Amino acid sequence: MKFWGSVFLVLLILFGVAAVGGVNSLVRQDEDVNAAWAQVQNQYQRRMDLIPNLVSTVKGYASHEKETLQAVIEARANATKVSLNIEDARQFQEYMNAQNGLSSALARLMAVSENYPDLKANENFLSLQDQLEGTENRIAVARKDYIAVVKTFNQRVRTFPGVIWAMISGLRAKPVFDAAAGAQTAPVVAF
Amino acid sequence: MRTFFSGFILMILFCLSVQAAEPEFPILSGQVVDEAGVLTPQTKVLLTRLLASDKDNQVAVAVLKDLRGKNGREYGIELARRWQLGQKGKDNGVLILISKKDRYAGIEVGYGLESILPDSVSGRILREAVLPPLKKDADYNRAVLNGAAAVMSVLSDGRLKDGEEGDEEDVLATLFALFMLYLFLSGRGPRGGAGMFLRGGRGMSRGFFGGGGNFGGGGAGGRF
Repeated sequence: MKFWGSVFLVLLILFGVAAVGGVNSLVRQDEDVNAAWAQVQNQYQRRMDLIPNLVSTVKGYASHEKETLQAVIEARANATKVSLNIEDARQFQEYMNAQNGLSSALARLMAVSENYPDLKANENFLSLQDQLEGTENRIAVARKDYIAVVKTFNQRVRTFPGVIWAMISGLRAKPVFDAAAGAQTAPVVAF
Repeated sequence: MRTFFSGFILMILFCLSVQAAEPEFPILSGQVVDEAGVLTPQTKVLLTRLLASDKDNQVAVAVLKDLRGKNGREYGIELARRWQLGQKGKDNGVLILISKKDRYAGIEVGYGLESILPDSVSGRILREAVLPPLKKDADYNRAVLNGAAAVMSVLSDGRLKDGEEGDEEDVLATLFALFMLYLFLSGRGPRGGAGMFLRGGRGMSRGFFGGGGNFGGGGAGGRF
C-alpha cells in the first residue's frame, strides 16, 4: 500500500513538472503568434496611412478617374471600420476580406495611373509608389511569418500532449489564411 | 514493358535533374557574391573594400544567375534572412541583389535601417543609379558600384546626394570620395597604385559572416 502510494506521488510530481514546462512553452508560442499577428496588422495600418496622400497626388493628375479613386477611399473606410479580435474566426474573416478589398482597389488605381505619363514622372508619386510597393511587400512577409508560427502553434494545441496544456491554460487554435492571397499583392513594377 | 522502362528512365532522369539543380541559396562567401560571374576582379576588390569600410552595418552585394523561380522581392528577403546580414538586435543589414536571368535588381533593407533607408530612397537609388547602366548596356559592374556607393552614402550621412536624374558622375564621385576616406582612415596610402586593387583585399580573405540581423520586407525592386 505504501509502495503504491509513493508510485502515485512520483507520477503526480512528474506530471506537475511536465505541465509547468508544457504550459510555459505553449504560452511563449502564443506570444510569438500574437507578435506575428501584430506585425501583420501594423503593416496593413501602414498601408492605410499611405492612402490619403496617394489619393490626393493621383487626383491632381488624373481627376477624371473618379470611380477608381472613390473605390479606394471606400475600401479604406471599410477596412477602418472592422474591429478585430483574433480569437474570433468570423471577425478575422471580415478583417481579411476588407483588407483584400482594399488590395484590389489599390491595384486598380496603380494600373490606371500607368496611363498618365505626367503622374508617373512626378517625384512625389514615385516616392509614394515605392512606399506602397514596399508596404505590400512587408504585408506579404508579415503574413508568411504569421502563417509559419501559427502552423506550429496550432499543431501543438491540437496534438498530444499539447492538447492537455492547452486545456489547462485555456489557449486555443488561431485562425489562418492562405498564403496565396498575400503573394499576389507584392507586385514588381517595371520602371 | 516498354512503358515501364520509359517510366523508369524518366524517373532516373528526374532524380538526376533534381540532384543537378543548383542549391536554393548561394553561399555567403564574402560581402560580394558573384554567382553570375559578371563582375571584374577590380570591381570585386573595390566593392569589398568599400562595403567592409562600414564596421557597423553589414551591406552585401549578390549578383545571381537566377532567382530559383521565385519573385524578386520574395527571394531577396529569403536570401537576406538566410545570410542574416546585420547585427543581432540591431538588424542593420542591407542586401543589394541582381539576377541576370530574371533581369531583376532590388534592395532589401533590414528592420533597423528602414528609417535611414526608407523604401522611397531605395526606389530612387534603383531608378537613378542601378537600373540605368543595366538597361543601357548591361553594365553590371557599374550598376553594383553605383548602387553600393549610393547605399553607403545614405548610411553614412543619412541622405542621398541630391543629384539630377541619372547623374552617374555624382554617384561615382561619392564612391571615389568614400574610398579615399577609407584609405585615409585605415592609414594605408595607395601604394603601388592600381596594383593594390588587384592583390585582393584583407576583407576578402578574412571571410564574412552574417551577424544575425533580421529583415521585414523593407526596400524596393525593379526590372531592367
